Formats: sequence, C-alpha cells, structure tokens
Amino acid sequence: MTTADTSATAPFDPSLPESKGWPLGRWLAPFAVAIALLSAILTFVVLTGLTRIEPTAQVVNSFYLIDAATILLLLGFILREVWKVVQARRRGRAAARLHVQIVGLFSVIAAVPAVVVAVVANVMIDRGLDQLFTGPTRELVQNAVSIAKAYTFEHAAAIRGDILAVAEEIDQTPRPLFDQDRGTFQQLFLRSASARNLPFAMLIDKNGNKLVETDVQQRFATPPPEILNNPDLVNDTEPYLVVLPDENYVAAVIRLPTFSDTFLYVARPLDPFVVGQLKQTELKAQGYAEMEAQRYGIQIAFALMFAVIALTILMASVLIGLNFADRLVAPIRRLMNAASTVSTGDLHVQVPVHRSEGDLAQLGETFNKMTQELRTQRDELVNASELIDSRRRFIEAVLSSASAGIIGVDGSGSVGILNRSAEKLIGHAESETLDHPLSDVLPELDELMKNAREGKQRLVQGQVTIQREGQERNLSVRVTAEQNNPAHDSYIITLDDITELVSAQRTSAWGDVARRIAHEIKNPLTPIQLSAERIRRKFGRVITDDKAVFEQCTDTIIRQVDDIRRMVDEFSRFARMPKPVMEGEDVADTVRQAVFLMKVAHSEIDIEADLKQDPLRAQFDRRLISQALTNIIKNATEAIEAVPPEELGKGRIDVIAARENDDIIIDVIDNGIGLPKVARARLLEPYVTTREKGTGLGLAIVGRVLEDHGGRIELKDASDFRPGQRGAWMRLRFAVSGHANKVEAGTEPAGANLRAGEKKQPAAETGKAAEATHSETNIEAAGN
Amino acid sequence: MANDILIIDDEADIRELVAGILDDEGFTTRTAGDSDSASAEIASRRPDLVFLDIWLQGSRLDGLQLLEEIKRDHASLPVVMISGHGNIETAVAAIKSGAFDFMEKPFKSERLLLVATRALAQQSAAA
Repeated sequence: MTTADTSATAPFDPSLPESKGWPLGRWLAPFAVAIALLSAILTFVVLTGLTRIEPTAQVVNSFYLIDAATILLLLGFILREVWKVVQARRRGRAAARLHVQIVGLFSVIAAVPAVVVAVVANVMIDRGLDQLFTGPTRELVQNAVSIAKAYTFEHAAAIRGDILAVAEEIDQTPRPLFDQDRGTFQQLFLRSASARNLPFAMLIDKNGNKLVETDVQQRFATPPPEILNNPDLVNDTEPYLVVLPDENYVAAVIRLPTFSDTFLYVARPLDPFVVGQLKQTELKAQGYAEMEAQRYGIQIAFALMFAVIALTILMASVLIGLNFADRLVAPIRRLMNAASTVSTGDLHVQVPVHRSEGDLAQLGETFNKMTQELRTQRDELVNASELIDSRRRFIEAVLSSASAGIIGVDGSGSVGILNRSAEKLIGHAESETLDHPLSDVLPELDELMKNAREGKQRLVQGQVTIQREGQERNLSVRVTAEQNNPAHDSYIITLDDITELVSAQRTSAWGDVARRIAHEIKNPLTPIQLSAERIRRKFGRVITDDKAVFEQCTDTIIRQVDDIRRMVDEFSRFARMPKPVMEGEDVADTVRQAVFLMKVAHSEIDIEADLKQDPLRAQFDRRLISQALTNIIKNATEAIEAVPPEELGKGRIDVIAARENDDIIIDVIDNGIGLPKVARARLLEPYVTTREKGTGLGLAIVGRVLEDHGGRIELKDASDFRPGQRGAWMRLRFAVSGHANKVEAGTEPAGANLRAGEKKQPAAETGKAAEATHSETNIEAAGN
Repeated sequence: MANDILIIDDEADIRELVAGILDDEGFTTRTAGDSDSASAEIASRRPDLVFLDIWLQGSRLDGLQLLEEIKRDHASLPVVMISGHGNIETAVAAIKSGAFDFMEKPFKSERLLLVATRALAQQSAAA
C-alpha cells in the first residue's frame, strides 16, 4: 500500500531544454523571412516598372544585391537549423528523422512549384520575346520603316529629276543672260522651277549667298558652305539630296557646270502628316531594334527575378518548415522520450500537455492517463503479489512449524510438498521424496489413498503403523482431496504422530488395571493372610496329628499371598514412577558400577564395558539410570540364558557408553535370543513380555526413566552392530542436559493422566516428605 | 495394664480377624463399622488404643476426618492407621495429623501385635 498512491508525480519533460535564453534569435528568423520577402516583392515591383523608380541597370543590380544578401541571411539561418537537426540526429535524439522528413517535405513542396513556375515563366517569356522579335511583328516594323523610306526616296528621286532638269535648262540658258538680264533670267528660272512644281529654287554661290531665288513662301535653310565646297558631296553631275523630315521638306543641291561656283538649290515641302508618321515609324523601329538588342538582358533579368523570388520563398518555406517541424516534433519528441522511459520500466512519466498542440495534446493526455493507469495496475499487481507472498510465507511458516506432518500429493500421485515434521516422520529428507511417487515414499498409505481416490468423500481418515529406523510409529492420517480437477485430484495428507498418545493411552489403561488389581486383589489378601496366620497361631498349638501338613498348608497360603502382594506392588510402582532428580554425574562411572555388579552376579557371561569418554559428565538421576541399565543388562543375561546351551557358546554382553551431539548413548549388545521382529515397540509397553515369567514391566520402566530424561530406548538387532551376530541391541538414549530438547507430544499428558488417576483417595494433598518417602520405596522395589 | 482396643474398619472380615487375633493374645477388643458407631463406642468408654482404617466406605466421616475428631477429643489416645493399597501418602499424612503409626494392608499378625503392644506400652507409660 505504499507505491499505489503516488498521485503527486511531477510533470516530466523528457525533451532537452530548449534554448530560450536568446529571444532575439527566435525573432531573427521570421524577421529575415519578412525582409527577404519584402525585398523580393520590391524587386519585382520595381522591375516590372510599377513604381516611379526607373528600372535602370544600377537600380536593378542594387535590388538584386539586397535580395542576394537576404537570401544568404536565410541560408545562414537554415544552415544553422539544419546543423542543429543533423546534430540531433547524430546524437540519436528522438524524432530527428521525422524532423528531417518534415523539413525535406516542406522544402520540396515550396521549391518544386517555385522552380516549375520559374522555368515555365522563363519559357513563356522566351516564347513571347521570340514572337515579338521574329515573324510578322518584325516584318511589320521593317515594312513600316521601308515604306517611310520609300516615300522619302520617291520624293528624293522626284526632286533629283527636277533639279537635274532645272540645272540643264539653266545650263542651256546663255550665260550673258544671267549676267545682263537678270530679270529675264529670273523669269526663265521661275518658269523652269514652277514647271517642275518646285515651290522653291535658288542659285547660291559657294559662300551661300543668294543669287537668284523664287518666290519665297516658305523659309528654307541655305545649305552651309562646307557642304557646298565639298566636292565629294556636291558636284556638277549628281545632286546632293537632303531629306529633312524635321523641316518637312526635301532639298537638293547641284553645282552648275556652266556657272562657276554657282549652285542650284531646290526644295520641296513634304506632307507634314506623312513626315510625322515617318518620323514616328523610324523612332519605333529604332526602339524595337534596341529592345531586340536587349532581349537576352531582359530574359536574364526576369530569370534572375524569378530565381530571387523562388529562392526567397524556398528559403522562407524551409525556415517555416523547420519552425513548423520543431513545433510539430516537440510534443512527439516528448512522447517518444517518455515512451522510451516507460519502456525501461519507469512508469512515473507524465508529459506536459499544451492545449495549443491540438491532437498531439490529446495524445499526450491519453499517454499520461495510460501511464497512470499502468502504474496503478502495476502497483496493484505488486501489492497483490506482496500479499500473496506474505500469505505464502505465512503458510510456509505454518507448515514448517506445524507439529503434524503435511504432505501434498499431486494428481499423478507424486509428492509435491512436505514439511519438516513430515520429513521426520517418514524418515526421508525432502530432496529424496519430492517428485517421487507417494507409494515409494510411504507405501503404508496405499490403502488410504485408494480409499480416497475411489470414495466420494473429501476426507478419509485412518491410522497406520510405520516402521522407520527401528522405531514403530503410529500415525493418524487424514487425506483431504483438493478437488481442482475430478480426474486428477491432488491430496493433502496430514500425518499426526500418535505413537506417544497411543502408548499413553495404553499406559493409562494399564494404570487403571493396576489400580483395579490393587483394589480388588490386595483387599481380600489381608483377611486371607490374617485368617491363615490366626489359624496357625490359634490351632497350631492344639493340632497334633499331621502337624507338618497343617504348617505346610498355612505357610503356603501366607507365602502365596505374599507373592500376590509383591506382584501387585510392582504394578503400583510402575503406575507411580518417581520423578527423577537431575544432578551432575559421571555416566562412565555409573556404567562401570552397574557392569561390575552384573559381572559379579553373572560370572558365566562376559560383560564388557567400553567407555568412549571417561569421565562422561551429564545431568541425570544416577539411581534411575543405573537402575535402568541394570534392568537392561539383566534382560540381556536372561536372553542369553534362554538360548539353548548347544547353540550358545560363550555368552557376551557389550556395554558401550558415548556422547552423540547432545545425547548420551549407552548401547547394550548381547548374543542372546534377540528381539521379536513384529510389534517390537509394544515391548516398551507395560505388561508386554516375551518371557514366561516376566511381568512385562522391566522395559516399560526403563522406557519411562529415559523418557523422563528427555530420551528413549531404541530396540535394534545385534546384527546391525556386528553382522551375523545373534541377539539384541538395546540403545539407551538420554539428553546430556537431562531435559528433552523437543517436547515429545503426549509424554507429559500421559504422565499427568497417570498421576491424576491416583488421586482418588481422600486427602490427596500431600507434602514433599511423603513424596520422598514414596520415591525411596519405589526405587528400592525397582531393584528387584 | 490398659488393653481396651477399638477396631474401626468398614470390612467386617478384617475387623473381626484383627479383633480375633488380638483377643487370642489377651487384649480386650471392640469393633465399629463406621464413623458414627465408632464415635459412639469412644464416647461410651474411652479405649486405650484405636485401629482405624483410612478408607471407611459408606461412612459419614472417612478415616482421616475421624482421626481428627478423635485427636480433638482425646489427644492422648493412640490411633494406628490401617492404610489400604496405594495410599501410603495418606497414611503418612495421618501420622502428621497425630496418628501413632500406620500399617499397610496386607499386614502380618506379628506386625499387628507388635504395634498394638508398643502403642499400649507407651500409653501405659504416659498414663
């Protein structure tokens, strides 16, 4: 419940810190874009002549320079951005590829139309100019010019004819007429001129002085003397023609051969309209020719303009694209970084959400929700697994601490789990039993398992007796079916060691019997004995016949009663075993003494003490242990005596005392008749004996003594000790400390039952002195 | 010499046998089967010795309670307790309560006579 409610997760921005410390830089790019666009538009406007600024080469060039500068500026910005992107991509920053793709796409989208339009426009211009400078237009212009020229030439030709004709006529006129009769000459001259429809004619000398002239209705300029005196221009055979469209006339001058240094000069006015048209046509033709000469210049200029505008737009769009990509990629980048953080298992990731980002903001929100949900679910899972884990640990602790043995059997009948108590009970370590079939590990349970499998009940109970390590154990078994799958049930088997309980029950039952015997037999014994004694005392004196028979009969009665009393006493003694008084004693010495006494009593048998440690200190009741050992050795001697003499050879008893961990072990190995194989454990119970005359209490008393010392008696075969040997191996085991390390279930309650059972007599509350006295009595009696 | 002995036992056989043996040896005996008749006998004439069974079946008082009563009224009267089987502890407790001695069943005639003689001799000496 700790990790679940981490609601206060700080918003997480996985993107690298953006450079926000230079606001000028952020505004510089848009500013540059604006400048570039503005200069491009201005160039366009100026170039197309929409302003009053004359698009002279200088102006245009300076505009182009400005454009180039802004384009370079943009290029610089773009390079910077591209450098950043490349760096980012090289560093493997998230979404760098997307960034590049978006910028590339923007550039393509911006550049392709611009380039296409530029190419198309150039082609169009070229085509348009081609049309302008070739074909009909060109012809038209040239024709107009030709017509205008033809017109003037016609006039010139006319005036040439006229001037030649007038010159001839004047030449034929006798010179003296000119010199003498200037009036007649003039009339003649006039007639000649008007006959040729020359409105103006004059004779001038070489200095331009008028000699003769016609009526002057119009002023005509006299040719300058330089022309007149230039023989290349003006001679006497061919007139020098001058078309003066500005003066609206054509003039011709010729040297008169017969008149020295006299020139004829004629002029005829032209139609002012025609002359005007002619002038204009010439002008236009001139302009046209100029334009044609400038054609490639224009084309280049337009191409340049297109290039400038296209470049500007391209750069601008690339910059805008970069900017856009930045904005578009930023949230994606945040998401990608956050997602990669999530992929490493950290679910405490939240991306900042900016409403302005639209769909991406929504995506971010969804992502945040998703991580939160994941976190919650994972926390819940973790908590659940912790809970399960703690439960499992609890169950394991319960299992391992349970005194009952617990075995889990899976559907295939193999052992799936077993606890420490079960290990101890079945005498195999966990490793030897896990995954082994139960029928191998505990064949004694086969029948119960069969019942459990065949029966419909969920719970099958029963008792089995198993034999492990020389000990017989009574187990109460409960088989519970875990009905997961009817075909393959798994089972939980609970084993309760009720050996002690069973033995306690038997002991308790025997205690009751003992009390009944004491009560029912001992009571009538008193009057029988007293009667017999009284008979002997009272009538012994008066009987004279067969007095010996009388004595024998009464003696027999008294002796037998005494025997019965002793037997009853022995029963009672067992039913009320004294509590041992633990003192630090030497086991070795105790063994030595007991062996010594038995050696003296049974000199025909080799009784050898083997003391592995000497001295061997322990806490125990010397008298009781000595008693127990004596009992066991006595049993051994009796077992040896029971062997037929022809088989026996030499009787031998080995007594070995040693310390094993926290236990003292005294082994008594004989070569007597040995112990029965069946129901060995019952030998330890009271009243069970293999001998004809035994009371069956010897081993029971030894067992009780050792139990009170935190130990037990183990019944084995001598062949385990020395292969092939006949006889029994009794192992007396008790704790060095004198106390049981582990509380054996059933021991204490059994004893308590026995003692409680005795307190039927009134005034049962007795003092310690009485207890002590009682103990003394019992111990002495036990020696028998 | 004082020789008046009162025998208190719920079992008639034992009661009569003990009385018979003591009679044979010349003691004067009376018997009682329960606490009330015993009290009456003691009240009628103070005996010189009492044999008292600890377990008095069907009696108002058991042996120990009767012992206390006797000791209260006749502190100097010797009482020998006869213990049944398996209750030596109670016999020992009886000694503490002032009993002269105890005999565990089954006992021999010699012991009965010895105890009786000893008790009476002490009684006589005290008297």
